[in-house]
Amino acid sequence: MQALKDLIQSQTFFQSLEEEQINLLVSISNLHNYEEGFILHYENSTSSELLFLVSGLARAYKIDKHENEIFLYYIYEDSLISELSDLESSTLYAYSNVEIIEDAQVLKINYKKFKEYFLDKNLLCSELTSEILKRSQQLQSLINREFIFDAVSKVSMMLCDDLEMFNKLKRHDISLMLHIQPATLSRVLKRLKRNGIIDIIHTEVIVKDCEALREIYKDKLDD
Amino acid sequence: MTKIKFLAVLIFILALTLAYFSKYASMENERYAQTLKTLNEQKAFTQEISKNIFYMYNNTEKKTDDLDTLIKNFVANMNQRDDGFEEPFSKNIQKQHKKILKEWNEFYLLVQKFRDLYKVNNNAYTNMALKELVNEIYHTNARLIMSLNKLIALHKNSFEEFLVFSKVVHIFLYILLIFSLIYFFTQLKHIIAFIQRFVQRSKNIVTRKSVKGIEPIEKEICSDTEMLRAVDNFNRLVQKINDSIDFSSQSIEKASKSLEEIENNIEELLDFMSSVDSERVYDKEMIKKEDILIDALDELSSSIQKLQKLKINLETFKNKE
Repeated sequence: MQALKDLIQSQTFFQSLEEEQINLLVSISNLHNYEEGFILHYENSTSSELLFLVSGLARAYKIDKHENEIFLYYIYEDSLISELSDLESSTLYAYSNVEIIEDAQVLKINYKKFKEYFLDKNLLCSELTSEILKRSQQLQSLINREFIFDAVSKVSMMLCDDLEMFNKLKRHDISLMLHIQPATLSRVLKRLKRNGIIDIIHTEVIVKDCEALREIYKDKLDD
Repeated sequence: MTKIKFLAVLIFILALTLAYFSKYASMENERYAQTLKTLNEQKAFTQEISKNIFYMYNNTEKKTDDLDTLIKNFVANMNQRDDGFEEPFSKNIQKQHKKILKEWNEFYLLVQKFRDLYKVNNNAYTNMALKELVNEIYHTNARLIMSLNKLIALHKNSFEEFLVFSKVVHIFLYILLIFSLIYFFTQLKHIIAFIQRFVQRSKNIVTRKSVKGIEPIEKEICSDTEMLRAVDNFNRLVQKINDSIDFSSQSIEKASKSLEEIENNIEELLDFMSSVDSERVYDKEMIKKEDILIDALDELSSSIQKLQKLKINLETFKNKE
């Protein structure tokens, strides 16, 4: 119980809560461990539990009419996994599939009671708003990536914003995530390297000129 | 289909005829029973009247009330019988009926005479006349009874003849109906078999991912021109689906090859641009054009992949079970 309390207290999302409120939260929560590849929830399903990623990494995706995966965004630790679409309802609706991609600890909170004890009393509201804004930004990036950017801009944005993830993933997975052909990814990297913006040492990409990268995709937004 | 419609109408008419004839036979049966009842009542009344007259003749009470009542009932019964006889009967029956009417009139006249004379005071003349009248009444009554028996026998024969006729008609109509039904169901069996095959194969086209195994419907099972036309249309549809898949597959293949050629050309162009770049001749416009070409090449590659996937899907649709 104390371990769970300490874990909750360590999360930025819950830091504004007082001792008594943390105890209340502990009484309506459970901690679960999941291995890589586990699907936390499927799209269009409903749940009575609010999910919070304590540690690890997850990704949200949807399946299109041709049964292809459409990558939406990553969910990093100390973030809300569940999507809130209706504050009146006592159940949560899942818009996307969520898969664990690095072994994770997930906090499951009884949403009905959480709503009653916290949200209805205007507690954690600013944290919740901040999570929703973060999600909104992720979706804006998705729209840019899918509808506005060309192949070079997509790669440039990822290199600039998430280089760590870029080097962690396989090139094939990156091309799937960005919806470009693997050959195109190679061509783009070649083009960026030739122009002296990046360097590639033993398959690891090193950004030499982050500003130039930002300029590439910003140009697209200005167009 | 025309044959089926004609058969359905025939079966309907046969069923109606059978029902109407059964009702007619039942009415005839009832009329026969009523006629027999009336005739037997008549017989009984003339007997009663005769008995009453003998009784009065042998007694001197001078009362005619019972006789009057019997005569009244007899006349009422005769009128009822006359009503029944208005319907057509055989000539023999009508002739016998006329004979009975004549004899009844004679009998009635004699009874009236007896009744009148009976009321007169007794004397030698009236006694003689009464005796003679009683004799005549006895003989006329006997004739009347014989005539009535003959009439009953004629009715019985006529009814038996009708029964035989009715039985023959019933059997004929039943046999006709049964044969029509058997023929109807045989035809219907063909149509149901055809519809089942038609529905099953149509369903296969709509629900299955594949059209393999959907052979054209055989024309041998069709016995009707409309069914043959439907089979022709269905087979043409199956053929068109197969042809469309083949044509689409060929078109996709050609389009893929064309796109691959364009892809190669763009790649060559990109290589050329790279070589220009590698000579350190940086030109912002050139770089932008290179980006556009990289993106176009990506779109092209993805289009080729989509086309190839579509081709595979089409072939799966056609070949896969």
